[in-house]
This record gives sequence, structure tokens and C-alpha cells, in this order.
Amino acid sequence: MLKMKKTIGLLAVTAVMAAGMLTGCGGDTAKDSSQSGQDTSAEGKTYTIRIAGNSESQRSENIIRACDRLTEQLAAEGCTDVVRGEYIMVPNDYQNEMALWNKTGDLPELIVGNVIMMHEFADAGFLTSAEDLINGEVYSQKLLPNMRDAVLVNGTHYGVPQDVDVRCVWINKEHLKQLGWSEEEMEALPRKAEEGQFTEGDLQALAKEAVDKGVSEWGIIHRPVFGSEFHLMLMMHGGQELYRDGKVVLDRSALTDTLTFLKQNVDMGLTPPELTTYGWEVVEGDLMPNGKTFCWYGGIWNKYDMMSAANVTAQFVDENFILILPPVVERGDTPISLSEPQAYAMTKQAASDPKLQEYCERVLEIVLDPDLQMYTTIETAHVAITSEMLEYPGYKSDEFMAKNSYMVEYTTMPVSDPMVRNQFLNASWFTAIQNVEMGSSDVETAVNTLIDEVTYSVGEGSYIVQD
Amino acid sequence: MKHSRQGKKDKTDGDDLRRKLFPYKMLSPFFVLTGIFVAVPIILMIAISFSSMGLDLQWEFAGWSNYKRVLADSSIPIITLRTVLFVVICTVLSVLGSIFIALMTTYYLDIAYKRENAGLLFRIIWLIPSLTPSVVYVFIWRFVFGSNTQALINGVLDKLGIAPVTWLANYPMQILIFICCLSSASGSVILFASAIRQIPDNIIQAARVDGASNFYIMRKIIMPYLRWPITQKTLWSVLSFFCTYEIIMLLTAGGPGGKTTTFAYYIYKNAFELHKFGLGSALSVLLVAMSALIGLVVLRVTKVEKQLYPPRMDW
Repeated sequence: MLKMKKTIGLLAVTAVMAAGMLTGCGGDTAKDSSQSGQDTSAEGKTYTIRIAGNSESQRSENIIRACDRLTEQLAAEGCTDVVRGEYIMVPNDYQNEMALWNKTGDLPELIVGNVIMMHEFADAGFLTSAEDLINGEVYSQKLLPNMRDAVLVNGTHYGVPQDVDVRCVWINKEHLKQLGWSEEEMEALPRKAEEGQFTEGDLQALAKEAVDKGVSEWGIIHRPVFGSEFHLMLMMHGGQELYRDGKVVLDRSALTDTLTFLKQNVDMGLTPPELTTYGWEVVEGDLMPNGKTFCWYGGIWNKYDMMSAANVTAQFVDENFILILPPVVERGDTPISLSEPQAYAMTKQAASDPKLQEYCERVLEIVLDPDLQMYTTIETAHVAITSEMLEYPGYKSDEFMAKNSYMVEYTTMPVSDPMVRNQFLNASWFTAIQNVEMGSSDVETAVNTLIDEVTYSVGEGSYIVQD
Repeated sequence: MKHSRQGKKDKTDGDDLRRKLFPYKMLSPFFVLTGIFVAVPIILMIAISFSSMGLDLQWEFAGWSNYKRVLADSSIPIITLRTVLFVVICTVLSVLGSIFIALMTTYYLDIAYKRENAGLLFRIIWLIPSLTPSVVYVFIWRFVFGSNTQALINGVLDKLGIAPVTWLANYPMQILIFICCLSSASGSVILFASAIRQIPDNIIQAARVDGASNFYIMRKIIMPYLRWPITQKTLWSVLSFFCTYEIIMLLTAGGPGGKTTTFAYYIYKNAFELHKFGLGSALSVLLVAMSALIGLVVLRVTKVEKQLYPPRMDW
């Protein structure tokens, strides 16, 4: 009996001690650390911010450093919390991976992805609002105004831009010289395009001259897979409005004009008919850097890609190419460009703990520091997104950026609605281009097929067809 | 006495029951595994096909809407026709290819000409396509059929002064069929080779004594022995070609202009690219029904029930 009493007493003391220890260490944050992204120690808490990014977002270094910098700032403020960044690379199947993370309740706190992807994630309920962040002092002061709505989904900001690209036309300088252009004429070309005095027809004529004179093998090329350059071409031919009141807008005349332009290029011998079956290694690794094409519809990031794909130097790219805004269709029109920024967004996991969300927001503010912005601008050939960066010596001293950053003033954000992106632009629009360029279909049939496909795909009441 | 007789009867009944249940007890692990990995996914697939599940993976009842969409999809007839042609051509070529390779390496080299080492070496070489991971396998073929002069065939053509050909643009389906058949034929060499090796030597020797030529032996003795492996290979090929999507995804992404989009790839595209899991599941239900139907036709045509009675390889 006495032995039993002793045992009960010992158990009671142990239980009291255990309860006391738990209260002392954890306090109000005695949560599962793996779920909340935090760990507790006697001095303070360690917050692990997991950042998931796809293979295009290999620029993780800046955000990891931003986490370290936040820890330093917290220490300076007398707080002993530690913030640690952990980058999770998701090379493929990003969306499906996110869906599974969400299902298991273990979303990473931050994600990096293009703005189109963010729209899908916001619609699926993975993200938390970034209104406080974007309306806060730091973003209001630093972010360029036309970047503000990069991740605006149904009236709510769900993220902030990480970088910004601009779509443009690259022209081979050497080819222009061989066509008899002087240095002054070449220097003046970007300005002429900016003023709307250099048209698509002018570009076609020049490219044709280059091909006919044997200066280059091809005249005008574009990306080999679906992407926003084709979206921009459609906009330039009158299809600015692709989405209205929750419906896909199919502008028959814009679709016809764009396909006609692409078909003309093939018929004139400017574009390889099978271009859309080439790999990037051919386009960026050979045709572009090796002077096999007079020009191409691409983007500012092609510099970085060419350097990686063809092992050419930045100096080679700077010396051999001129970038201009995509030429207007009608002389005197104002040129337009299109950007598809990478963006950061906070998931609902970040919002699960106010402190964690606060740190995530602070990390996203720190990442705007110019030295950290260098990772996502100069190093990957993207344009500055902050006014501070435009004046930063490291950015300003880069001749390529100094020359071409003005294009960001002409840029627009893409239509990111998944219905427009997935069913119209990425699938049917690209197939129509492919069929027209390869001669499998004439323009009229391709437009009709596209309209049939998209109207079926999005369903009754979700489309507007206009002539 | 009566009790004792009754007790004995009960014991006998119990033994009978135990004996009857024994096979099921032995099969129970299989039933459990099949239930978890086959039956449950099928039930889930059917359930999802009646939902509007999207990226959020939320199950919302949608009635027959996905099936109605499939029936209204104008691209389904052409995709179905393309898939059936793809499956039929690939199955025929891969079965013939497997038999051809097995005959060359096992009958001619091993048996007829007693060059067993050479036969083994060729069989091992022929196995490489099926042992190579799909990604690597397709990457190699993309290099072979690449459009620029750095690619293998176009590089050779360039050296010979012949203009490069954009193979994957001009012959996408032909190339797809070729590489699918090669991989499939390669994987079945072991099956056919072992079937040929099981033919008793005395039968072949007796045929030789009677003056039969190699071709005659092959036609009249070996081929009848291969009926069961042919049935198995045909059925397996039909089902696997119906489900082929990863090679298509890696080689052509269903293009150009949808020319290599088969039913399985269309399912993948809807479910995992457009995140219409409900629609993808409805399409999957139809694919399962279609492949089951064709599988049954294959079994009927090959008269599989007759092959099941006698010993399969050495009758």
C-alpha cells in the first residue's frame, strides 16, 4: 500500500514538473514547430520561412539573404528571434505540388512564381492577401507604379513582383551594317520605334532584304513554345481586351490579323515554318547568337538565356544586338510591350501565425534593397522594379540596362485569368499559330477552329466573340 | 453414440469449410492489396468524375456535367480515332518486332547456329531501350531527330550536303510510333526468347532429320509454341499503348497542332495542366472502358480460353 502511494506521489510530482517545464519554454507558442515554421529556444524563437520556387526562379539567394538581414535587424531592435530562409526548388509540376501541399496543410510560407500561376493559386485559396504589404510604406515609396498591380486578382493584391521583364524585338547589328546602315542610324532606331515611326511592315521589309541579300538565313523568328510574346502580338493587332466581365473575349479580326502577319513571315521566307517544333537550344543557343536570324520577337531576358545556352559573354550580346520596342502596326501608334513578372506571395500558412506573417512581410520589404535586387535584375537580365534601383550605381553602370530600361514605361501586365491563359492563349492560340505557320491550316480555318475550341472549352456564357 | 456421430459430422463440416476457405485465406493479402491499389483508386476516379474538382482538390458534386462535356467535345472523335490507330499500329509492330528479334537471337543464333554467346549479347543490347528511363530515352531520340545540324541525323545530312529536315515537325506520329515500338519490342524479347528456349530440342531435331528447313521449323514448330506469349504481349501492348502519355509529353507535347495528342495525353493535359480533375477523371473512365473492351476483343480473337487448358508452352 505504502509502495503504491509512493508511486502515485512520484507520478504526480513528475506530471507537475513536466507541466511547469512546458509552460516555461513554450508559453503561448507551444505549437508543432514543423507546422508553424518556428522553433522555440530559451532566448527566442527560430522562424523558418520556406520559399518554394519553380525552375525559373533560381534566384533564391536574395530572399535567403533577406531572411538573414531581418535577423540582424531584429537583433538591433533587441529581439532575439531568428529568421531562417529555406528555398524549396520545385522543378516541374509546381501547381500540382502546391495542390498536394495544401491538401496536407503544409504549404510553404512564401512562394515565387510567375503572375499567371499566382492567379491560379489565389483562386484556389492557397494565398493570403498582400494588401497590407503593398499599401505599406516601403512598397508605396519604392515600387514603380505600373508594377503595383502585377498580382491583382479579382480586386485583391495577392503578391508583390520579384522582377519584371519586357518584351521587345532584338535586331542583329552586324546584319544592319551589312545592309548599309550607319552607326547613327542604328543608334536612332530604338527611338524611332518608341515614337511609332518604325512599323511592323518596315521590319518585315528589312528582314526580307537581309534574307534576300544572303545576310542572314532567316528574317524574323519568335519563341518556339507558347508564351506571352504571342499574347503581345495579339494585343498589337487590336486584341488588347482578352477578358471582360469574367468572359474570354475572342476578337476575330485581331486573331486573323495576327495569324496573317505570322503566315506572311513564313511565306516571305522570314520564319522557318517548323519553328514551333524547335527546342530552345536551337533558338537561343544557335539561331539568335550565331546570327542566323535578322531579328526576333523576344524579351530582355534573352540576354541571360543566350549567355547560358550559347556560352556567349554579356559584352558579345551588348555589342551585337539592338533592342527596340515591338514595332507598331500603323505608323504613329504608340508602341506597347508586355511583362510577365515573377512574383512573391504569402500562403495561408504564413498567415497562420501573426508573427510569422509579420516576418514574411518584412522579408519581402527587405528584398527590395538594391543590393538584393541585383540578383533579380542585372544577373538575370531583368528590369528594375523600384525607383531606388533605377538610381543604384550597380544598376546604372550596366550599359545594357541603362539603354533598355525605358521600355518598362510601355509595358502592360498580362491577362492572368486561368481561363484565358490555359484554354485560350496557351492551348488553342498556340495550336492555331503552329497550324498556320506549318501550312496545316489557312488563317480563316485556324481562327474558326480556335473559336470553336475555346468556346467549347470555357463553356456557354463564358465567352464573347466579336468581329 | 448419437452425440459422437454428430460431433464427427460437425468436425468434418468444419474441415470442409476450412478447406474451402483456405484458398481465400491465402489470397487475402492479394485481395487487400488489390483493394487498396486498384479498386479504391477506380472508385475514387469514378467519384471524382462526377465532381468539378480543381486545383483546390475540393470535391463538389457536378452530376453528369463532365460526361456531357466529353460528349460535346468536337476533338474527342479525332483523338479517339488517332488513339485507336496508334494502339493498333504500335501493337502489331511491337509484337512482330519482338518475335523477329527473339527468332533472330534465340532460334537462329542460339539453336540453329549454336552461337549462344552472340545470341545473349544481342538480346542484352536489344534490352537497352526498355531498360532506359523514359526521360533519357526520349532525350536521346530528340537528339537523333533534332531539327538543327547539331542533331545526329541532320548533322550527317549536313556533312553530305543535304538540307536538314525538321523530323519532329514533318513526321511526328511516325517517329512517336517508331520509338514506342522499339521500346516495347525490346522489353518483350525475354518473354519470347524464353518461350523459344522451352521448345524441346528433340522436336526440332526430328524436324531436321525429316529435312525441314529453318524457315519451315520456324513457321510450323516455333510459331505455334509462341501463341501464349503472343496473346500476353498483345494484350499487354494494347493496354500500355492506350495509357502512353509520358513519351508523347516529352517528345512532342501532343503537337505539332495536336497531331500526336492521344486519349491518354488528352487526359493528362486536362487533369494536370489545366487542373480539371473532374473532366480528366471522366475521360479516364471512358479510357478504361475503351481499353477493357478492346482487351476483351483481343482475348476473344486469340481464343485465350482454349490456351489455358493444356500446358502453355510445352504441349
